[in-house]
Amino acid sequence: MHFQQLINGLAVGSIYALVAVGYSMVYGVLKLINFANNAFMVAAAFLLILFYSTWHLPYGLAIILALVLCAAGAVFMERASLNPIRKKNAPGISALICTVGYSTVITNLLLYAFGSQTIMVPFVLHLPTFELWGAVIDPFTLIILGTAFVLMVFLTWLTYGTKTGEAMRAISQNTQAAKLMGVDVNKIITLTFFIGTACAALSGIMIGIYYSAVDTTMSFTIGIKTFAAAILGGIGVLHGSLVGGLVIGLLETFVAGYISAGYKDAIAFIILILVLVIRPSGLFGKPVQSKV
Amino acid sequence: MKKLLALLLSAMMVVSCFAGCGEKPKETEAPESKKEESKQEGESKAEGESKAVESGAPAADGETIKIAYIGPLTGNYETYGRHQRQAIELAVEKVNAEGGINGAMVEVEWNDDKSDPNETTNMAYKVCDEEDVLTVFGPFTTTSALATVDIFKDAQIPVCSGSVSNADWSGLGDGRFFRGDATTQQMCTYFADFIIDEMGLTKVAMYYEQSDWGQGMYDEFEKAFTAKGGEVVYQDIFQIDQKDFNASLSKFKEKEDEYELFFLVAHLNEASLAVNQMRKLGIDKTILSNNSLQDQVYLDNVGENGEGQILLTYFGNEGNSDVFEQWKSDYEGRYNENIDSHAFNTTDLINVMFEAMKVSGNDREAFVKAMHEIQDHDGLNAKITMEENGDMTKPLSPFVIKDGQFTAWTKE
Repeated sequence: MHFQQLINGLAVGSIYALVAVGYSMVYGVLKLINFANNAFMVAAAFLLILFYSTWHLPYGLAIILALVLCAAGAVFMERASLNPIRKKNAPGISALICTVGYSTVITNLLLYAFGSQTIMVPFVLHLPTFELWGAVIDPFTLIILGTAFVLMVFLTWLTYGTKTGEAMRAISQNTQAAKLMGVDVNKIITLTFFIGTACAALSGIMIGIYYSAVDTTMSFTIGIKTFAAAILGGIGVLHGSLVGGLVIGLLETFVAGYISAGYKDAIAFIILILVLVIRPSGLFGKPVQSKV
Repeated sequence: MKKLLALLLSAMMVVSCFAGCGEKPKETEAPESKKEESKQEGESKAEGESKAVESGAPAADGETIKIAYIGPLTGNYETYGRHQRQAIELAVEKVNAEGGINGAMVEVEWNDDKSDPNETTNMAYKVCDEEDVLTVFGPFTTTSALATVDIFKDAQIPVCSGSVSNADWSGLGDGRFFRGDATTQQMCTYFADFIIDEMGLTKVAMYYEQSDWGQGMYDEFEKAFTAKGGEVVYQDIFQIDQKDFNASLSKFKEKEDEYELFFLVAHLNEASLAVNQMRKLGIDKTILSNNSLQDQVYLDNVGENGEGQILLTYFGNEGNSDVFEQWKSDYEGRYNENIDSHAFNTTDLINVMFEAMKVSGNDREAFVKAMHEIQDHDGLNAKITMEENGDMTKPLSPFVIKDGQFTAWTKE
């Protein structure tokens, strides 16, 4: 029973973690919370259904197309709207509201195209569940956990071990100085949106496969928790997102498993508030000192 | 210049907010659809001139019987409103084609409330001012219905709703409120009787939605089931829009030896996810559910995980009456859309209303009296009797999902 709940919690947690990474990447570079992240997450699962079930493309190709399209959508958002807003030195909140706008538009397009009902997400591999120490384990859980871990290692390497990552961190610290040092700011920002959204899109597809279903409300219900996960871990810190996601996933599973499902969100968020009161910049976030 | 631009932009935004209001309710594809008058917030009155009298055979004295529909023809519940509208259109056309009610043509006035209680209230006042309206059909949701109780009561107008499930509602209207759907209380009595008398089981685990409806279902069922000697051995709730059910389901899994039947009270989206997750966790108990899962979408979503699941509902893919099959093929042929429980309940109710109108004509009090006297009316799939409080007795039948179809349930 305890082990079963641990597995349940880890599975949900690693899903949250993957989406949280999308928030964290963009925030790390631009200090912008990209609320369209969740909309792209859900859109990916719907695109997979469209490409595979309706257009009958090969499964792998359908996934890749869905990922690329979502990431391209985010790049479009950046180029067409966020970039012009930044150029005019608008307050940060304008860009943020702009992403909320995109999120609403995408969600409504999905509602229009697919309706509000739950739709089945196809999966080609038939993985039989197995038992371990009294717990029933869906092998796909392990795939999710593995993917979250591998992606985290890859992204950490990208940010801290490559020239591109160095450019990202430079922009994060001082965009003007980075530009003067010869960093192609627009290219790096575009790349950040592409990678961040691709991560969210991938997790959208994995959520769809794990629950074998998707509906448009996922954008909100999962979106709000993943955003909380990113904040909890310290937004902008990649491994913080992983830990934040896992903590929220485990918390809500244990509350639902041992107290009551009715309180799971409330208790998970009360703990989030407590952590933030004690550590305002999140578990792994560094306190920001602004100089006057 | 910039200020002018800003002003222009803000004006555009304000105007776009109103853009939705003037929309006419979507016309159905069928060619005959000009029969009804689409009157909406006074906007499209001009087009509303083509009345029912023009098509169908005109009545000898040109008299009409007017029903005022109030329901969600647009907005979030548009699908349900559309299903109700289609069912009403079909029934009205049929009765008018057969010469109307004692020669009088039936006419429907469409009022869109978007299932927003404020709008419902406006529509209710509007309808109450129209003296030629015999009866109201609607409102759609319990919230809208409760918001308008006093308005309708003061106007002494009969109200027939095809969908309100709140048990108290029908009792609030001085005997002038009628409903075409089962109340939670009626449903739960059927569930308790079915589990004990038909299935021969007494130990049930219940998993239900955290809402007024879910809580009502649990309370009523627990009461009815315990009274019959059954026991709800374990229960848990889930939230609307919840996606992950594994934590709670793991507990159901642990206690699997203690119960014989898994009673799931849920709507489509949550049920699809919960059933797939419980089967994955290895809970293989028989699942019993309410009629809100009766939808092809549900069958598609759960696939083989749904096999063997039992639903207490009004109709299935097989084992229905001939009247039902005829209606089903008429409806689906005309609208190119599957029937659902709203279209079903609406059709049953409107036919009962026609029967009462045959006795009452255009007299409201006579209509109320005639509605109360409905007995053994041939409904689509069962005999319908109007109870004293204005609720219909409409037996639910057990159907089981077999080979991806809702088929009549038989005891093995």
